[in-house]
Amino acid sequence: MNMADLVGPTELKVSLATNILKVMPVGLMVVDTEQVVLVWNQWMENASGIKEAQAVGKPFTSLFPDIQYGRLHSALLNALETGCPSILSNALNNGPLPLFYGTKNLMEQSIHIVPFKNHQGQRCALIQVMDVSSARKREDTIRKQARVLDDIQQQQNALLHSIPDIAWLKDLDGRYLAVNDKFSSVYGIDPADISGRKNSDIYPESMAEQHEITDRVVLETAAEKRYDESIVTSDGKTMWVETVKVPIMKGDQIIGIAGVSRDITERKASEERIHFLAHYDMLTELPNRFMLFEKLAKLLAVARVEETQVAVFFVDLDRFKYINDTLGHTAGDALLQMVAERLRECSREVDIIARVGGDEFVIALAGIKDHKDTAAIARKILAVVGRPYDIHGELVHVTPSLGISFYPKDGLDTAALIKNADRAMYQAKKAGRNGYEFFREGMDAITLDQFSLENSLRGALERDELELLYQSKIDLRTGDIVGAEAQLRWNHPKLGLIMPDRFISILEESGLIGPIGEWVIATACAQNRKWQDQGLPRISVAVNLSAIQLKQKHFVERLARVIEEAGLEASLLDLEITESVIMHNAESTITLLEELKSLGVKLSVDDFGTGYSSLSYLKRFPIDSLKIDQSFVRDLDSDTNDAAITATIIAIAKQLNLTVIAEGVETTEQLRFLHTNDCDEIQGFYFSKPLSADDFAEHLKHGIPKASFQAAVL
Amino acid sequence: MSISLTEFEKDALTEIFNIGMGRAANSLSQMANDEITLAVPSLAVVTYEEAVSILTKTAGEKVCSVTQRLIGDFNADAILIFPENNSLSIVRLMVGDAYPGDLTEMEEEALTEIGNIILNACFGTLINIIGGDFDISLPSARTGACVHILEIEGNKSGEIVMLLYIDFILKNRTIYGHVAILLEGDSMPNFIRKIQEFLATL
Amino acid sequence: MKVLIVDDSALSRMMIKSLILEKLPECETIEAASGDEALGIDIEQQPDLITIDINMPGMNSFDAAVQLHEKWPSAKMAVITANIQNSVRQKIQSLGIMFLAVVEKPVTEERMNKIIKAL
Repeated sequence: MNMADLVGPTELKVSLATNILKVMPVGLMVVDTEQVVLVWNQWMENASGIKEAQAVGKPFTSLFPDIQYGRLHSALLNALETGCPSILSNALNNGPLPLFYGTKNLMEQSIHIVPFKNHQGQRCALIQVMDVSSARKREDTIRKQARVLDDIQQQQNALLHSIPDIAWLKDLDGRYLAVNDKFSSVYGIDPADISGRKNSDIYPESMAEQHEITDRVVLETAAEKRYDESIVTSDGKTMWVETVKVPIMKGDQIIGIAGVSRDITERKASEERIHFLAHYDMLTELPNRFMLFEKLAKLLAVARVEETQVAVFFVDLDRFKYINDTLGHTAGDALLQMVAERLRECSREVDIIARVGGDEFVIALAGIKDHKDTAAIARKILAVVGRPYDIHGELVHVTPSLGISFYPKDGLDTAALIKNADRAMYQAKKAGRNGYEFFREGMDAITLDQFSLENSLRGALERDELELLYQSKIDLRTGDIVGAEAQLRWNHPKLGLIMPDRFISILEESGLIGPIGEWVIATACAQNRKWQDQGLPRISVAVNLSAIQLKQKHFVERLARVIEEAGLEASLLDLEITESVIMHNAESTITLLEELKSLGVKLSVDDFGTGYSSLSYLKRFPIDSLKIDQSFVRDLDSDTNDAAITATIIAIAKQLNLTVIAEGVETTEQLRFLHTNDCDEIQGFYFSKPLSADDFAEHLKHGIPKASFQAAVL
Repeated sequence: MSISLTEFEKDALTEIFNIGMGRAANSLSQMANDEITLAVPSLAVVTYEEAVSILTKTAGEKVCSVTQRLIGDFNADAILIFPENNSLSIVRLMVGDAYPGDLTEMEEEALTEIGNIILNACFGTLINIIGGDFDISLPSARTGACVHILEIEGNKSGEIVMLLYIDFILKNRTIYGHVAILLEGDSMPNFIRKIQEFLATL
Repeated sequence: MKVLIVDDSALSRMMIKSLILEKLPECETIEAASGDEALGIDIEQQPDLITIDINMPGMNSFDAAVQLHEKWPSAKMAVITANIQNSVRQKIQSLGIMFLAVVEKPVTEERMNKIIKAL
């Protein structure tokens, strides 16, 4: 069967053609060589509103008079003249013909112009118009969606970039999807280049590995992971960050990982500072108490395993309080730093040096074999620490007292070893300072633990643990009791009676010297008044003053008030100030002494002979008496030097019109010597030990039996 | 079969092509709002494979093309060729508002029209000058390797073809393309005769 | 009447010549295949009309046009070219020469008439 059979005679062809034109869902027009419309189909009727009858026979361009034909026209001409077919795409041509669907909607058109020859060989052109409005709509939607996606992408990026911390997104394979500006500035990577990179492309090996591990954990547990880490930036700087990684979820599925790292360098620095402060002494940068315990424990553990010994030195600076108070705290601090340095000089890398108190240090030496070696080390410490110090141009001397204990002999744990070294140190102090002592069982069980003592001392006054004892001063010519020196005692509930030399430093260091010092003066004055009221002979009462008290503001005024409140005559109060205190800063001391003198009180130089007196100042001080230190008196029998010195002191004192009193008189020989040399007064166990107020009252009432006095002296 | 052209004939062919491309360039220039620079046309009579090879070398591996076929006294194919990513550029240049990804339907249609305008200019000029009756196909767009683009009906392996091609570039952008005319070997004698007939009228 | 036809294409020269002679049979035509060649022509030749294609290889056609104008100031000039893009038109206008016409190839009878009429 062929075409002719199929389509039959001409009428059928025409009718076929006509029907096809009617049903085709596209616009079909045919124009002849003159562009006159020959065919106008149903679709065109519907779309343009122009009926077939109106269109056929008219020039094509006349049908739509108002439009710009432009390309449509030239394409049509081209087709008719040269037979070139043309397409007018919807994208490049904006609905050239006024065709509508619905009532108002301009149709998006795609036009084909196809030239052909009719059966007579005349050129015609078929114009086909297709409605591509829906295609256009679809495409517009796609474009809109693309723009929305773009916007979302941009928003995401904006969000990402707005985070001031390092932020990033990764997919399940660990490839970076996006990073923010902070990320790129820290790691030196352009955000545009990040896509597809993996951890190993960005970070150094160890860091990349860390990231891999934490990424895996997040993916496997589908949970957040938060941790601190140290990172290296692209300029090689180290930075501490707190990193949080979270899984990105889409419904139940994990589709990636989001991470943020916050710079915590500041925080870390603070933490480190705090750690430092918690473990180290700020002034000397030595480990503090806390760290000492930690380190020492480790040292002991090692010694236990290696079966070696550890020596623990407790180092206490002698009379440091005095130096601190007279030179000022800045100088005192400088001194401590220097002492710390000296101690470092004496020890090795493996040893521990710690500052455990105001002027207390602990040194722990490991690998000790022989006690003899330790003694050598102790001597070295004494020598090194004892060298003079240049503090702001002034040469200062300070000496240590050392106490030494051993692991395991003297203790198995840190507390025991330190306590025992401390006890040994105390012995060293008692033995005269500037020396060392090895711990022995049976040593004074009283512990000089600064902290606990200080704490107890604080309430001592309120708890009536403090007491004043009085030791009489005897006139060497008459045998009369002419004065009483008030001495402070502390009745510690647990430790028993504590002598002042053991807690004076605590008093001074803790500032308790103020109130307690004042209490001492007030109590002594009141007591003296009481004795007078009891009808006892008039005597002076002497009180020891510390340098700190003297430096107190308005000390003189306070003193005046105290004396007045006690109702005591000022001349019956004797203030004893040690020689070294008076001589230090002698110029300013003169003023102070004169102020005190103006109150009417008596002034004595205590411990005379132990300091560095300048005779010229001695002349200028408004003092009343000199008290010869007991060290001279003690050796009067044996040491001819001391005897000579003592005699000289008495002579000078007499020359200066000062009363001279010798302290610590215990034997008849001493008594006689002093008498011979015209000493004015004496004080000591020979005649009386320090007594309670009541006992002293009794003692004062009876006085020294004349007979025995005469016998002793002569 | 005389397949050699005299110098004059070659000149005439080249000039006709030039004129056609000139007109095409005008249209393209207006559409792209950019100056079009045309290279000097090249003329070669080679085997089909060689033609493919020449075009591949010129245009690259992956291309977008628009083809129109001329059938009549002689048969020829005119092809507009863009390197693949370039075709996106030129279409987007004219359509605006780029949708990321491959050419959409609309964009492909736009490319087809661009090709149509250019190729019509070539064919039209040719027909205008030397006259004759031809059937010209509607333009069709294809993407792929040059060798596939040129698998046009009538081009047989080993056959001689006459290849005429020209490169053009949009001056202010890096968009460039090529127009190639492939004349079937069998058609060459007729073609030459037509040229000669025309020249005789001058 | 003398016409100088400057065009690198022999075909175009032939076509232009053919069209001119159709309209002006007694017209004398001279041909040059390039700007150089045209400038090398004896000045005595004094054409009345010069047609020039501004898309020729070799010497810059624009310069050639200017120099030809200087050589024969009284001759009228028309540009016949395949390349009449806007940029080219602007360039032509900027030459400062009063061209009779700027015509697109292929030159049709109509277009040639326009030129001849303007003479």
